[in-house]
Amino acid sequence: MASELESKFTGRVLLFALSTCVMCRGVRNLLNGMDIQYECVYVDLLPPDEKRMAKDEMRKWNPRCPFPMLIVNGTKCVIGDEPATIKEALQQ
Amino acid sequence: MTEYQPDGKETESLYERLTDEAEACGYHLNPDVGFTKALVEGLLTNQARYGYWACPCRLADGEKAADLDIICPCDYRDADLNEFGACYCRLYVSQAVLDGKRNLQPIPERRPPEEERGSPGRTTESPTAGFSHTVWRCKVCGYLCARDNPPEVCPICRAKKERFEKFA
Repeated sequence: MASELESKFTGRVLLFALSTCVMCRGVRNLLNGMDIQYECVYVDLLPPDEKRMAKDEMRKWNPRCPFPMLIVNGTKCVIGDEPATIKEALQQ
Repeated sequence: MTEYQPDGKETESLYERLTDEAEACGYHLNPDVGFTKALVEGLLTNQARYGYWACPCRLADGEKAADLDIICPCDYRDADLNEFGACYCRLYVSQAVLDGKRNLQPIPERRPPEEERGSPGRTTESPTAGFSHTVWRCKVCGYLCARDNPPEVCPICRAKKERFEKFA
């Protein structure tokens, strides 16, 4: 459901990921290990209309839509799988 | 819809094939075998999903013409190998990284945003500058050849015919 997807966009910690991406898997493992509550959206598995919505949302942060993209509090965007950068962004 | 799951055998066989092809052509797969095999699984999944090896770390459109530049090996691999020591998804690494002389850093996305990519799948037309044959350029590795049509497969990097553009 599109509205269900939209509600995920407003969560405290949101991860845009691809089901085939190894770096995305790394970020999930990191977040799981830190016991962080988060929403994960696998953009490649979404139906076409929702995929478009997710891409539009990602484009607000980075027009190249890179993965993994972690959004914290709707104010911070971390691209990539660097543990130090991700931990720093989550410490607030 | 049940999602295709590559089995260990397929992954192993493609991993070996890619390793052999890379080494024969002066390229190197990431020596982190677990990481690399997971990427190979991603390639197999995308093969089943889209019919081609879309980069596992990029969002494929599903239309081949729009995804040509991110079919592995992607158009951006060699530039990223030069600048960062690995391609975007880190499937391929440079000799320096392989030898442990260089560490991997985050690799920014080199692929232009959607609106700057131009018409997908179009080869850039350029005038033949008085040569007896058209010169074709492989967009992946830069290999040039002068002949009426591009080769079926690039002899250097094994990119397919559709990845060639008219160079002169």
